[in-house]
Parts: sequence; C-alpha cells; structure tokens
Amino acid sequence: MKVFIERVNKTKTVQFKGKVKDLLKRLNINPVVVLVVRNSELLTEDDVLSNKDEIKIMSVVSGG
Amino acid sequence: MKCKCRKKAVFQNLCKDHFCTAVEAKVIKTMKKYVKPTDKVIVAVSGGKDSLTVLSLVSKHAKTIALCIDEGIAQYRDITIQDMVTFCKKNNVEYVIVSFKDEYGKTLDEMTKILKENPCTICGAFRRHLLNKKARELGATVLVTGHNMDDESQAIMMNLMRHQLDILPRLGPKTGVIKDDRFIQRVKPLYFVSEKEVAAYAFLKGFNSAYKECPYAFHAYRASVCNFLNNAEVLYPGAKQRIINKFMKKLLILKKSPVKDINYCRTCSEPCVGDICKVCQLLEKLWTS
Repeated sequence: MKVFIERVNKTKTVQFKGKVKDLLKRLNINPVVVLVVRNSELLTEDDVLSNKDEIKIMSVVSGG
Repeated sequence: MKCKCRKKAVFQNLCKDHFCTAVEAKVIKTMKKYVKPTDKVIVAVSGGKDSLTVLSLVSKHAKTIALCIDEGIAQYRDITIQDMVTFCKKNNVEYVIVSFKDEYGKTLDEMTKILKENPCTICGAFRRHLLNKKARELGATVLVTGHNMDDESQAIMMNLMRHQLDILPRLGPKTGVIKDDRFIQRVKPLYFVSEKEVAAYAFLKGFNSAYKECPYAFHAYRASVCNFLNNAEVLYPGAKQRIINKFMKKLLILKKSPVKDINYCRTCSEPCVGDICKVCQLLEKLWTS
C-alpha cells in the first residue's frame, strides 16, 4: 500500500494488510498524534486496511 | 466499527454526526459558562485547526471579530493567514490583522537575529501584549483563544516541572485571577477537547489545511513536554484528561491563594507583574543592540 506521511511530506510503499493501529505500530507512529485517512474518509484504529489502499497519515499536533 | 446509530464510526465508536455533536456539546458547555451572548468577543486566530474550530463555534454564539497576529515568520505565518482570511470570507466573519512589524518596528525573524532569547519566549511576550492591547482597542469584553486540552495539560506540567507554582492559578478555561479594566478576560472554549478531537472535527468540517510547522517550534520546552505527554497517553490512556480533571478540582482553591497585584508598565501602561513589562524590556534590548 502507499502511505503518505504528512509531517515529513513523504510517501512510503509498505506491504501491509490489517488494522490501522497495527500499521501505525509497524511505522513506529504514535496513534495519539495522527489521523489516518483513506479516500478522504477518516478511519478509526480498528478499521481494516488492504494492501491496495492508499492512505494519508495526518499530524494532529499544531506546528507552532 | 459501528456507531450506536449503525453508521460507520470515524472517531473511536462514533459516526461523523455523533462525533461532531459530542465535540460541539463540550465546546458550547464551556463557552456558555464564560461567554454571554451580549459579550463582544474577539477570537485570537492563527488560521490553524484550533483557532478556526473555536471561531466557527463562537461566532454562532456571540458577536465576534477574528484577530490575527502576524509575527513575521517567513514561509509560515503568511500561509496560515491566508487560510484564516479564506475561512472568514467564506463564513462572513469580520477579521483584523495586526503585525509585529507595524506595532514594534521589527518582525519576529528580525528580532531573533538580534535578541539572545528563545524565539518562543520573544514571540509569546509580544503576542500576548498585542492581543490584549488590540482586543481592548476593538472594545472586546472577552478574548477567546483556541487552547485545547493538550495545550493546557502541557502548561500545567511545564509549570510544575519548573516549580512555577504561582502561575498555576492563572490557568484554567477562564484565565486570570484579578479583574482589571485593562486586562481582557481570556476564555478557552476548547479546554476539554483533546488536540486529536479538534483535528478530527476540523477535518470532518473541512477547515483543516495542509500541515505547516513553525520554524521555531523545535526550540520550545513545550515540544519536549508535548512528546512526553503523548507517550504517556499511549501507556496510560486518558492521562491528559486526568491531569485536567484533577487540576480543575484544585483550581478553585488555587485561585484563592494570595497573588501579586497587577501593575501597569511604566513605559507602555499595559498590565504586567513588575514595573516594566517583558515587551518593553525586550524592545529596550532591541534598540540598544
């Protein structure tokens, strides 16, 4: 799947299928500080992702 | 996961409608406690998710003007100001922009090259000074800010870790201890809403903008405390909420503790703790450097 990480403005390709919370664990991202979005739809940590998904990980922490 | 209404959940176990209603209920409860419909409200707005969220909700409750401070941070504030202007025009909210350059003669970028202080200390002092002064000039009875539960739990922890216990009574959803005509009462309607909830609400309402990081943010002691609390939140879910809840129980007692009288700065007449306010001290250094 393609994962766009907004804070670093980079897209990563990751082999993954499973729950959002497990992807964040794999990417070593604290779930408290991000929102995960697929096709402009906000996902919960229990939503399931497929390997074909394109997702965006948005930072919730204010930039300044 | 499904919401209780059987729609797909978007945040924890709530669908979009139920989540937004829950956030609005928390904000409106805090706002109605401290802001009267007859108040003239100035909302301090940067163009970020917190200030746009609070502006959207407060402007439905009372007569509101958005007040934006342009500190003069290249590649950052000019972008967020554009987000603020777009939002205000779309939602028919009056707005005022004032800048460090016009008021103090220099941008924050210029000040940081001259002064040897932490940029966040300089920015915070000038921003608070200008917000209070302009809000008063605009006839405000209340100055609303977009501080959320994360901001406040960080402020509590920072003051505890620096043993600045005398500052604690000034915190809370309605700031300040002593009433003073020259000090505009500050209210934080997002006080009981977490940063993640505000970000989700702003996203769902369509007022989020692209992530922008202040180039000075890494200097801040706050950034370290923020990371510490976010890591604690993973290990102990609800940690920030518990800090706020426990603090609120102590706040009434803290506000009764003896406090220093408000003085007026001998140079600019703005309310301050000592004889000369921090801004006038910094300006003196700027002009003599």
